[in-house]
Amino acid sequence: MSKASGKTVKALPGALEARSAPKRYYTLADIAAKAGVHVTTVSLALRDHPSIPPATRARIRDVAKTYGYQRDPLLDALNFHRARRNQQARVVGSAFVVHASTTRLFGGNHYQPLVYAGAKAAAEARGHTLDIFVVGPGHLAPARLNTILNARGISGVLLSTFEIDIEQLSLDWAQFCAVKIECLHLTPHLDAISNDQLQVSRLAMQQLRKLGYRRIGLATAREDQTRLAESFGMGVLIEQASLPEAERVPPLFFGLAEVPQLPSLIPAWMRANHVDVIISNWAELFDTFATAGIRLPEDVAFACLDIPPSMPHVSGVVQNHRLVGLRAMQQLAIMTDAYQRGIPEAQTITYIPGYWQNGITAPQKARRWVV
Amino acid sequence: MNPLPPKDSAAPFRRPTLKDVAREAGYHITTISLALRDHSSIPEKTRKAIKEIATRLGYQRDPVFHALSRFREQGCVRGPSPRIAYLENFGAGSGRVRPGHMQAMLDGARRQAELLGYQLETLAVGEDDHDTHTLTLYLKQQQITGVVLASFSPGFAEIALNWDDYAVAKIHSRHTEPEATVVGNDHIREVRLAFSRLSALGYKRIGLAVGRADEDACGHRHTAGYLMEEASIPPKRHVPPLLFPYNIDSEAVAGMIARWVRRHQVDVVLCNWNSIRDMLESQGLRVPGEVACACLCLCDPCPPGLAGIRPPLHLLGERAISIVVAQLKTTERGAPECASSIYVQSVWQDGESAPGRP
Repeated sequence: MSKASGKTVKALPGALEARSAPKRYYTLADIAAKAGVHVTTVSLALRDHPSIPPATRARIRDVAKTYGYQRDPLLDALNFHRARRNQQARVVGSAFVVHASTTRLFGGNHYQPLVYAGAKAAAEARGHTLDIFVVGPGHLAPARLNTILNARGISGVLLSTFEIDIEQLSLDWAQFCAVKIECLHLTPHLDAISNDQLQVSRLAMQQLRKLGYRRIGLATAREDQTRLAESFGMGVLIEQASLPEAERVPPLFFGLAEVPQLPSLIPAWMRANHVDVIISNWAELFDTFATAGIRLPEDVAFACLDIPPSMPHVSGVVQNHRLVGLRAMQQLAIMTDAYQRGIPEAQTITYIPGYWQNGITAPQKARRWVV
Repeated sequence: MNPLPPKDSAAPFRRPTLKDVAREAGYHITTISLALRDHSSIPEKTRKAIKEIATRLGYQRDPVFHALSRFREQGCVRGPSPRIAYLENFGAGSGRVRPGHMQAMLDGARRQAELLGYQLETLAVGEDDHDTHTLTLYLKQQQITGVVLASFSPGFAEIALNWDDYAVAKIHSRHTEPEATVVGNDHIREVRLAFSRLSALGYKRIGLAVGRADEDACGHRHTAGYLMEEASIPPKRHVPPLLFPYNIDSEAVAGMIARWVRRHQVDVVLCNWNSIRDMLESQGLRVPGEVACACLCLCDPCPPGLAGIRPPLHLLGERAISIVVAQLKTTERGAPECASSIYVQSVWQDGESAPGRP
């Protein structure tokens, strides 16, 4: 008879469950059984995946709440480490979207390759792939990009280098997890990662004062001021607030159309304000100095606010473009893991600080001995 | 066919495991496990040698995995959730009540922690609460390795943990160590937004009144935003910002603000204290008849009709927890080499304390 009773138990697992103590720990499978859906549906619904109808998501959430189902941080951490060890197991694709008018930024001295390299490194560390897509005239139209991303199952989007004249990018944002790199002006207001231009210009002012400079002049393009929410100018203004009146140099803001006149504009501004060191995010000013016959650092010292990697001899601040890309991708990965799609309820902006580099264009100022 | 990711990319950081220590030391993995737990069955000399190798390789017992294996041993009964410490220094032990804005941050942090499966434990730092020594002991005992420094006020007690042992994020608290990732609301943009909104409403003499302690904790970002706006208006409309000193009672602040309003003919006061309207009225200034006012940090419970900026404070808590959890998951510890700042954006809210002017 014992044989028969064994069979009965096997055939009726529910009977055993009913007799045992009530469950203290509910898994996804339990919730799936209670809700009458597949376990993968529960998983997606609890992560707010758009592929599950909102009504179903709400119902499943209620069931989960009733039984006290909770995501387990231990298994979460374990999964993370398993995914890192076995990368082939889970390939997630993300897109690095750039605008057609800025593809030049990928060549020469520009910072864009650094941003991309950082993002790529972070993507690979998590087993994601990262592909570049170019939108704009002569390349993909936004609607086409939308279709391609969908077809490839790409839900993570990094937006980079959309210049000030591009006001918006229309994708169906509800489908994507997206993070902007710089381009704060671009709508929609997605979370963004940016260099901390305010900290950069403050750091330059502080370091140059330590080196003995007293009349520090900022020269930058008006368009840059608009694009970067006036942060270079603001940093200078904050530092100047604690300086004596005689050491506050009014910044030189020029329009992009005025660039050919810089060889005359810069010397005039220098003379009028007795500038002893120029700070600027424009490494191109070296050409201007050459044309105008200005000698560095004899006539004026120079500190670059965004030193390109090819100029390790220049004084100034190195902006951490690689880290910007890295952090952007890390944040995107967190969002794709949690299915946080669409435009956030409140935008957050992450700022990455730069660091000072000593160079020959702004040496320590010799002390003047008064005899 | 799906292309596999390239294999030649830089190998991601892998935390050393017991196996790595075993390979290096030439003992079996169980020996290593026992030795690192100081089991008496392993000769003392061997224990010491193994511990040295483990330290050299950077092996660390991870509380998250420790809890996981305990959970596996004990079958289907879930152990207690791992905890994250939420440190505050406003003086709970001395009987002070948590201010409204800090409660909003805490609520957001707690919700996010629970969503991710952690428990949030609030710990008070201060003269009558934990100091560095007792806190270190407590965290160690409880195996808590995730820490949030929640809006520490300058001028109150501070702590100096060995930060390399913890996953850590800060909410504001810029004046104190460690140099960790900071989450905050964007005071520069908030002041600028308020300024431009009040200008559009017809105000001409906009004055900024904030506490020096708040300024030190947020990196002087209120005054920075104000300076920027001031630069674009004629000098005769400039009003010097009023910074009231540390640890001052609200009656004294009200007096300072009233004298400053009268002296500089301020027509609207921008203040980060919720009680700005009461303070002005207590000094015999009619709001908005004689002077209008707006608050830079509206949070519930909020006086009705007060205009100002409403920062999404719960998001500060949420983001801080997300950052700590991401570090716990990847077993990163200590402050990052380059600490970034994360700012949550706020919105303006009109109110009858600052109506439009003809």
